[in-house]
Amino acid sequence: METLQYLMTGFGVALSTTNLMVAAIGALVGTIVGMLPGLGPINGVAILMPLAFALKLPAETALILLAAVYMGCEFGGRISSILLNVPGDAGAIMTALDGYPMARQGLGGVALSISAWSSFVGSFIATCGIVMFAPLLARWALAFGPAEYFALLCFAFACITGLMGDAPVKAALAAVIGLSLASVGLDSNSGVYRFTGGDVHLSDGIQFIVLVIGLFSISEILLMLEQHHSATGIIKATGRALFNFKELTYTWCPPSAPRWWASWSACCRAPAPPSPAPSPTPPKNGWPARTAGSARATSAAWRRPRRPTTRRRSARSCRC
Amino acid sequence: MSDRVLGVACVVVAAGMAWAATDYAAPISYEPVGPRAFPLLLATLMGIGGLWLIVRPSLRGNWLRQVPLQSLAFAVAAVFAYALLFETLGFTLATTVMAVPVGMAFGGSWKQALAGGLGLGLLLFLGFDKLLDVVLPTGLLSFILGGR
Repeated sequence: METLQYLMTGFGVALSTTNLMVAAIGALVGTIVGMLPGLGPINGVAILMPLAFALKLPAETALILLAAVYMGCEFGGRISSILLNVPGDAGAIMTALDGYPMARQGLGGVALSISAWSSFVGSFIATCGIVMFAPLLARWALAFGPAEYFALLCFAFACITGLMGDAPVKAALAAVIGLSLASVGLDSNSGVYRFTGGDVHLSDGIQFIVLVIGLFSISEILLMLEQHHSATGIIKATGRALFNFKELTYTWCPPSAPRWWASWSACCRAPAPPSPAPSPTPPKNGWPARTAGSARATSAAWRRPRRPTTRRRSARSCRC
Repeated sequence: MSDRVLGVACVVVAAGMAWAATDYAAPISYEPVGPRAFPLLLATLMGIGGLWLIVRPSLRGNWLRQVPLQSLAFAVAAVFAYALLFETLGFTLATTVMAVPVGMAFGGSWKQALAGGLGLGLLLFLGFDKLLDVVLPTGLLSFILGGR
């Protein structure tokens, strides 16, 4: 296959010393730029593109530099979302939901290292997937029509209400508020300005990244004022910076989902190689600690919504 | 209690949205629904959600118990003032002016907040404008910092 042949040629070019060093420097610079809330990977590459021209690098080295900057920016957004609860870009929002409670318990280093590792694994799988499946994906992408987009949107809103299992009405309300904010601006079907109030700056709508940063950072400021009255001492310095194997397995299966545990531990009890298989019992001290504020510190994407155990519910105790 | 406040706010916003959206009409349209359908639908859903929250709030409501309302009000007013004065004052001055109430709300003295805001404004301006070439408004300080 000529794909593999081209790949071999490409690897020969990419694995030279200069290019590897340039990739490392680009990843470092990209991480620093991506750490700033608001500068996502696209903005980071756009800002640092003059750098590639100014250094007068050969074409492949410049491309490697910009690609490394892109990857670094993708990861850098996680740093501010884990440590500050301010997502750097749209992709770091879910990291803030899980990583910030971990940082507040002193596991910030672990959260950062797990984020780095999963970022590496994810982008590696994605790159391999693109190389192998690009023609198939192109055909699918062309066949994705309005009906499929609508189905995807319905799925997304169902996921939103499923994630906040104990307050589905609030989650649906949040989705509706988000949709209303997105309908500000020019209506693409009819050309009518909606909710702009005659202001020309709103005719393109409210930018998503501005909304995300504003919502997260201002609410974080107000929450800090309410609960702590100061900003010091919220993130404890952690003694441990690297995750251990047990925590790595929790990214595949959180300890708070019994049914998932049962099915997965059944798979684990199959004849296994001598490598240490994780035990199916939950850890003794519970990871993460179940304090009042850290209700969402597990991989919440797979956590099933908790149902109240008592059947009798008065109207006042309905949590919706 | 805080759920009830959110519910009332949602109902008010939904009423405002519905009132604004009834005016939207496309002059030429070959579609069954015009530009007012989606905002009206969202307003209806928001109103229903707000009413639900008013009638059945969740249990966790410790609103107004230990909330430092004054510092919260100062912080919110400072953030609003930042947005309104950003273009006229420029990035550095606006950041300095905003940092003083927010820093004092967090318990610092006004000198510390002023120094911190000034340092933050200058450093961030230099970092973004000169290093990364991201344009920030210079405002009143354009004679020092250079700009249009």
